Amino acid sequence: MLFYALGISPSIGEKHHPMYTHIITRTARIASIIEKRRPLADKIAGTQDNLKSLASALDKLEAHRKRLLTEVEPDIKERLKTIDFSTLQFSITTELEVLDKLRGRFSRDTLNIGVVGRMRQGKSTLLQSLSGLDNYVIPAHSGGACTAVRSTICPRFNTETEAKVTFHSEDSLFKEVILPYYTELRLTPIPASFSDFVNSPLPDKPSSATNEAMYQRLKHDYYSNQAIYRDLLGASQLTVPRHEIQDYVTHANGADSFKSLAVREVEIYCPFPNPEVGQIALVDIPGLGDLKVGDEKLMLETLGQGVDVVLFVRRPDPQGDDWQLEDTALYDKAAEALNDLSRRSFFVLNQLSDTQNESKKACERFKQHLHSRQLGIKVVDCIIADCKDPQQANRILDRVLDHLEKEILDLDTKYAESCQERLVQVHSAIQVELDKAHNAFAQEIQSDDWLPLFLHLFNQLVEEISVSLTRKLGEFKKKFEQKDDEFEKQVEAVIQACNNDPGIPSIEDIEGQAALLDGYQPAYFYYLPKIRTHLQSHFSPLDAALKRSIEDQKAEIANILIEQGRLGGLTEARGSEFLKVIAGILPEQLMPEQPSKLRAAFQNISNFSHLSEVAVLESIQKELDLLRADSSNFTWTGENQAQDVQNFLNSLYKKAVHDCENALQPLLDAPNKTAFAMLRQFVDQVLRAKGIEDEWRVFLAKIRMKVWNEFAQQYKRQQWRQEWLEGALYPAMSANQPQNLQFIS
Amino acid sequence: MRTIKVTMLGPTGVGKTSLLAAIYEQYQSVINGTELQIIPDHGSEARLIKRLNELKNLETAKFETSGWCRPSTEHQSYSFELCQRGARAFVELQFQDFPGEWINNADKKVKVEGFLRESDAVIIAIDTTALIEQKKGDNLHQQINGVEDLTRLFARVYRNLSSPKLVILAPVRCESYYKAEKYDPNLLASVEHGYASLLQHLEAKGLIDKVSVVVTPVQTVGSGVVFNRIDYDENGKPEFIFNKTGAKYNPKDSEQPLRYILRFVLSREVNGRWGVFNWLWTSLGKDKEFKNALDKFTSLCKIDDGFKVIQGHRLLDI
Repeated sequence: MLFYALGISPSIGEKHHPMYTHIITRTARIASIIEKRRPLADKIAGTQDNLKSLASALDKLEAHRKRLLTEVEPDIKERLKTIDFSTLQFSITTELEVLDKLRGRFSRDTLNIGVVGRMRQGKSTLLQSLSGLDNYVIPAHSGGACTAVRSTICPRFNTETEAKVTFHSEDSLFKEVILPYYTELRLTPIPASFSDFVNSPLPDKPSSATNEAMYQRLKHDYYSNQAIYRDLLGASQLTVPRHEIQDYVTHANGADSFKSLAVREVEIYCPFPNPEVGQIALVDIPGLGDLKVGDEKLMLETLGQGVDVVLFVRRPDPQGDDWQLEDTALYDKAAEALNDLSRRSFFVLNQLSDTQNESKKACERFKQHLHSRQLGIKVVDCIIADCKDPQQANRILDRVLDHLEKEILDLDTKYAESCQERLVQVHSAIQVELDKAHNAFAQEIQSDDWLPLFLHLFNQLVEEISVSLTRKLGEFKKKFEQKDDEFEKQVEAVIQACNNDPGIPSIEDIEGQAALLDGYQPAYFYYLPKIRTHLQSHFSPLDAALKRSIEDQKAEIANILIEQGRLGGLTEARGSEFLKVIAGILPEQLMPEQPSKLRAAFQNISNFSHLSEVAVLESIQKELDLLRADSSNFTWTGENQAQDVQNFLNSLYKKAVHDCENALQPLLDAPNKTAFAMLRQFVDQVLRAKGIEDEWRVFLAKIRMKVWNEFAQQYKRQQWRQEWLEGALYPAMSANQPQNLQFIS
Repeated sequence: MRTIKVTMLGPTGVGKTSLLAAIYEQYQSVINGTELQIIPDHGSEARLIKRLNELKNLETAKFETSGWCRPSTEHQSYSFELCQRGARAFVELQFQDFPGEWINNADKKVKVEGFLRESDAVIIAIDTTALIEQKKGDNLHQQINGVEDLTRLFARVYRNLSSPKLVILAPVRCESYYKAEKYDPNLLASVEHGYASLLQHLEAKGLIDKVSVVVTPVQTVGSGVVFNRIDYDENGKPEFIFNKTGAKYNPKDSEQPLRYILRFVLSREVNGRWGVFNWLWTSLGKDKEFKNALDKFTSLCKIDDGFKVIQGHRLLDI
């Protein structure tokens, strides 16, 4: 290789040369630095996770806080209002970004040297000199296409030069490249996606936008050549041999070069002329002032994560050139992204070889001016060198690597420490807010404060239940012997149904049956039980009606307990189901070693089905008995026996219906009788039983918060407090442990 | 010849005429074999025979019926002469049969009251079905038998009685409550319960010694019909529905009211407490055979198994 040919590289035989030893040591130490960074990168990753958990816990807490603000009482609300998580959330976001950079930097396999320079300052020339790559890969000729993508050049020996090409996805290209053009050029309408971009006509350049070149670039490169590069979007990483690299890094030589539009990043591996550079990489950072949108962002990102030291390349023009505003601006931008830039950067003044030494003079002038510090640009060193000269270029590299090797650990530590320090501050600030959050709810009311109020309310409640139940009992008693209108209607309907549907066989049927059974008398006896069963079936709705009426009456009693008794809050069940649920809620014992009488009372009323004497079918058994074979004493006419059978059946059926109707009359008051009996038993059991008031007292004390608003509010506060503390605050507090945010001690 | 007046009271259609017809029929089949003869006058006989035929014709009636005779709407008077066979009559029995609603009619009430006052005996025909059967648990007794009206009637008429009276409570159409040769005990109990207000009035201090009260159930047609049910017709009027059992016309116990009336009359004469009818005793004394016949007839008054002398036993002593 050229480098070797120049005899710069130390030969095998010079292993013990002092400089060589120095270089070996340096290489080893760089390796050791990289090795030391790894565990830190892991720790940072852990801290990042913790910080994210903390952020999400705070998000939840904040959401909970906002919800509570709409619900709670004014005193709590005021305290909640003083809590501010928003600035803390912002700090966390910021620190997460910093940690990202830091982790990116610490997890790299190489120490990276960024080379920054505007067009035609010698940046590419310097990279060529250091890497041994030529114009095809790193275009440096004047008027040539500029570097189109971010490329990293790493030394790798004993293999052919090759490059790993990473492509954009449609989405990343659209977001990172296309959209910034639209924003910068103020083009509308803004497409929604990459395919929207390529499938819609490109908007005309608005007159307000001045950057014609930028517009042309969007139009002629990205818009017009989409057919060439689109297929590559989303393609997996590609390894390409040396002679193809240029297709992916520049786009000046024919249609194929538009492939580079799809490329996001290129890593080039090549044997450096200096074989002892160690684990380093050169990062080609596009300078400001190029006609590409998004460069600045890319530069800052690259500087933040991908670079340990920066070389600013500047070629002073011998013709009256001086430091420009752009130079300062570039430095300031870089300082934003890279901490301690003054200790991480070098200025390389590219001295062209000329006979008059004009260039050398210009460089000296620039260097002097830089050192005067009026510029505000502070660098480790300002080196004048001819970038085209590999020997001089490698001297720059040596200088930089020496510096890196000595300083980088210190710089790393300092940077990490500053970040850690801010995290400690964030932690403390969060703790302050969390403490406020912890005090937002006053302490729980002391356990015996409620008793006097409870007793007062209890006495009122018992009085109300007692009065209402007794009044209801009075109502039921008044109706005790009255017919129940609803039930009477049911009975009438049933009797009507009996009359309308007697189920008496036709003469033809009787004749058929008589023929089958060989006689009219057998036919008559055949039909009797059938008619009996038929009649009985008509009465079954009545038992259901009785049951229903009992349910209705239970509902009336339940209503008293729900309204006057305020027990509605215990369950959403209503009607008779309410009584059942309460029986279930009541504990088996309310007083020590005594089965709960209150529970038994609720179980009793809940299970109450009917009074034994009011079952319909039992009441009419005697009447149905008429329709038995042995109870008829008709005389057969002998003339028309089928008619006789029909007459007899009809007669017995009608009499049975008539008698059943009579037999049911005493049942018409059954619902009212039942209601009274049921309620009387209940009232006796829940109001008059020995020791029952104590049971009520104990039970209501247990459930007071669901019964009285006075306690309900307290209950709500407790609920709020509990949810706030356990649901939101405690997780946040445990996420905000100092050790969670510590990645260096 | 003395006249013994008997008032027939009871609701329309209950069967007062049928009761008389049955009395006449029983006379023919039971009594007339003895020395005692009961002879209706011509007019009475014709009407009673007509009614009897109606009752006997039940066999042609439908299986299910709500009644078998048309109720009388006019006041009827029936007259019977009691005599010794082949001798002249010694007493006339005069039955006044009033349509049931008369006691509620302001004009006709006076007539009823007047005759009741004059009567020695009164037969209160009771609609037994209404008394005992129920429709929807209610019974129609008050509505149909009109006990309250009756009680008021007696309260007005039975005051300062100068002569003893016989009140016969005669539940008719008792066929459905007669099983195995016995009346349902509930029948008598129902009468006493259903007529409690009247009975209470009659046992008042001023009446208890002067009024004899008896209960005599009557089966005007016999076991040929049996009660089935009560329906309401389209006007809401209760209809008592009976079924024909197939048995023939066979009235039972319908002569009992007559036996009690004669016993009552005889007792009065025998004991002479009232001194008015001494002529009877005198004439009876003349013919021992007739007296025996009369004794025998009256001694067959039933007093238990559904029959009962409620008060005034002494007035029936012979």
